[in-house]
Amino acid sequence: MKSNTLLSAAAAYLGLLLSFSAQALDILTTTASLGALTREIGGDQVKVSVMAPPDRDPHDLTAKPSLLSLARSADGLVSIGAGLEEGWLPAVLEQAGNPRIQPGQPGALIATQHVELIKETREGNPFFGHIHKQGNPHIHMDPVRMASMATTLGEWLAHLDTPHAAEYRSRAQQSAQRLLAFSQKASAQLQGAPGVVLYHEDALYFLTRFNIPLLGTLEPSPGVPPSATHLQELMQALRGKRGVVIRAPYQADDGAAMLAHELGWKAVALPMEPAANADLQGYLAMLELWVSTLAKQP
Amino acid sequence: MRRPLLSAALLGSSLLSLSVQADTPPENDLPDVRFSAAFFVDGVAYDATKDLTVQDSLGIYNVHGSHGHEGEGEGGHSHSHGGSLDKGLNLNNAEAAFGVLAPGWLDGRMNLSMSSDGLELEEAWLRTQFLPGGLQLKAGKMLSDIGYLNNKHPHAWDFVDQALPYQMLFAGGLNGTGVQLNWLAPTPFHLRFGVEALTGGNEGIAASIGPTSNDETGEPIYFDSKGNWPNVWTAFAKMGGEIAPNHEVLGGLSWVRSDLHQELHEYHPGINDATHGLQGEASMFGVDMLYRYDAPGEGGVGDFSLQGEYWLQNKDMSLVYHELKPKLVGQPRDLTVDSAYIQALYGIFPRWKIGARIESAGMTHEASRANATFGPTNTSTFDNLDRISAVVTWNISHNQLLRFQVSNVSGSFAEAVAGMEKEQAVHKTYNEFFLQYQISFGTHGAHGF
Repeated sequence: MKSNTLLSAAAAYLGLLLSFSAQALDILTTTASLGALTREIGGDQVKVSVMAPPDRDPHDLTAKPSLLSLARSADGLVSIGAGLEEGWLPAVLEQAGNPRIQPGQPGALIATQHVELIKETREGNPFFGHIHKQGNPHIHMDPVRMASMATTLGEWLAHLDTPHAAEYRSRAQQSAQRLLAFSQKASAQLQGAPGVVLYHEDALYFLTRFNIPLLGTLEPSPGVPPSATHLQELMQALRGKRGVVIRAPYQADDGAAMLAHELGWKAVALPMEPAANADLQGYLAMLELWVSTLAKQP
Repeated sequence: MRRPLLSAALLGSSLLSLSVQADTPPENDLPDVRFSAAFFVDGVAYDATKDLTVQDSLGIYNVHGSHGHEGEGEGGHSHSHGGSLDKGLNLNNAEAAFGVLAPGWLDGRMNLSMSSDGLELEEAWLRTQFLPGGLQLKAGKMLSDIGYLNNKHPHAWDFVDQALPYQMLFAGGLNGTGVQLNWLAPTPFHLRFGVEALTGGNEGIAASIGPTSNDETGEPIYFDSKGNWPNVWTAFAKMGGEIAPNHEVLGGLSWVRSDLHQELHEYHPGINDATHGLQGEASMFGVDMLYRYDAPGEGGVGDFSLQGEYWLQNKDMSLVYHELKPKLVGQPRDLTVDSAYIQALYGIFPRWKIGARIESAGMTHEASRANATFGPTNTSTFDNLDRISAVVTWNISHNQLLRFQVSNVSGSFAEAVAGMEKEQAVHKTYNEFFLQYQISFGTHGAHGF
């Protein structure tokens, strides 16, 4: 009798352990775009949490207690790198006590180390501004680079969780194809789109991909708020041209509105990231908003 | 997949395929050992309506002021800036911060602070980055992680001066050499526990005088000598997390115990009738709360934070020397005092913040002579020390700020009695004006929450 009870207890314990083993991979991503791609490729085998709220500037987070706890238990971390998260991610990782997701560990994937970056050509100033030396980190605005990231992510997940490697690879391939198809369609739609003035060079990859001229940025230098002199210079240089001013919802609208008004253009606020719980569809819908907004500009 | 290795080990090789692969992935991102260095310079233009500082106020929290105290705590003084400014221009603080991070192995930090008190090594520690399960071990000279503000360097303060509980009860903050063990629990909300064993001579709770003598009479005063083994012990718990998107809370409980604390109160006619020495233990209990909202606005517009701390200090001591009544030696003296602050900050324009802070020390203010044959429990006759401050901070750029602060201080201060060789405690009020400019160069480890 006694041994029977012990056996059943042991069986229940084994069952419990097995159910733990079958638990989804816990993956943390810094931005919502990386989250959307990881969610799509990971499917049911992966539980994705996004650290940076999509409606906040990803440069300006703090190492909040909730982020420490997310990092504490994650099996993997996907970040952008190239300095985008340097103000807060190191502080999170230093205090999280989770060696598995530290840079250099198998559980860490840094996106900008796997795609080619557009180099920063402007000069910084020791008192103002913030130049990312490795290049522009906002790679998520290019669907082609994201297609390449899909393949990288698929391989990475396959190594973290070998039993499901085939599923990750196949979904990565499908995602890459969808992204490339989107890019092709968007190229056609964006033929003859006007030039763009951005607040920050955060959509540079999108513009470069679709041959849309970047006419200027409201920031005189990355991280420096627009100044009256700089706005005057932009007005002088752009008078008589056609274009549109685009900013993220978390970037100040006064400079954008003033410049657009002076030039007789439109000023538009467009999201830089999909919702935090988005999948690939949500990410593409965010890019589609950019395409449709630019395609219908006079 | 969180416990695959555990289950694989328990269930045997048949389930090994479920475990996380130890193979190196094809493209392993290289771990960089990163070094960082940053320099902070901080100048303050200061003026006040009276030549007083909070450290001059009378009360049992005051071991520096008119009571007289010649203890020199080794390493105890730590960035108690803001209380020692001269009227006019001050180089408040110059700080050098060096960091090293070897991901997956160690991180470390060293902070040097230069002020009118000289050069001081504030921190020099290494911390493990390889322990699993949310565990971290830190060793070296460190600012304790008790409370909320204790581990914040002056360049991270929201006001020019330090909050009153730290200025008055911790004599600038708890800093010591030793070890810390820290555990982040695997909970969906934030839960963190830590314990520390430190050697340190914090003036507020672990002042060490050692054998000395009465300046006037030359009589020996038998204070114990302090060894270099840990004599300050702390334990803390922090709990918090996101209550709604972009709304974060953090609460903490802290406990500190000092095995040895010594105070020498010198003869001060009218205030203190006889030179006497006290020795014993000290303990502190603290509660801290923080709420922070990160608004969508650019440059911190709409950001709001509310934070407060309450600290209760108990010094369980006995007389080791009394100039006039040697018979009293051995009699207990149980001193209890508390201090608190509450502050709010709001981002009113891009890169402009306004804030207010209300503080008090000595709301509880008891000198109890328990078990003594005479003398009841005394509630101190000194008034609370109160301070109210308003601040405006302009972050000119990411590495420069300009800050203006006005404070109103009121409390008991010593004043000479006309025509007599003695002083009396008088309630006084004065205003302080600070204009601070701060600039930093280089990169340093990102700030914690």
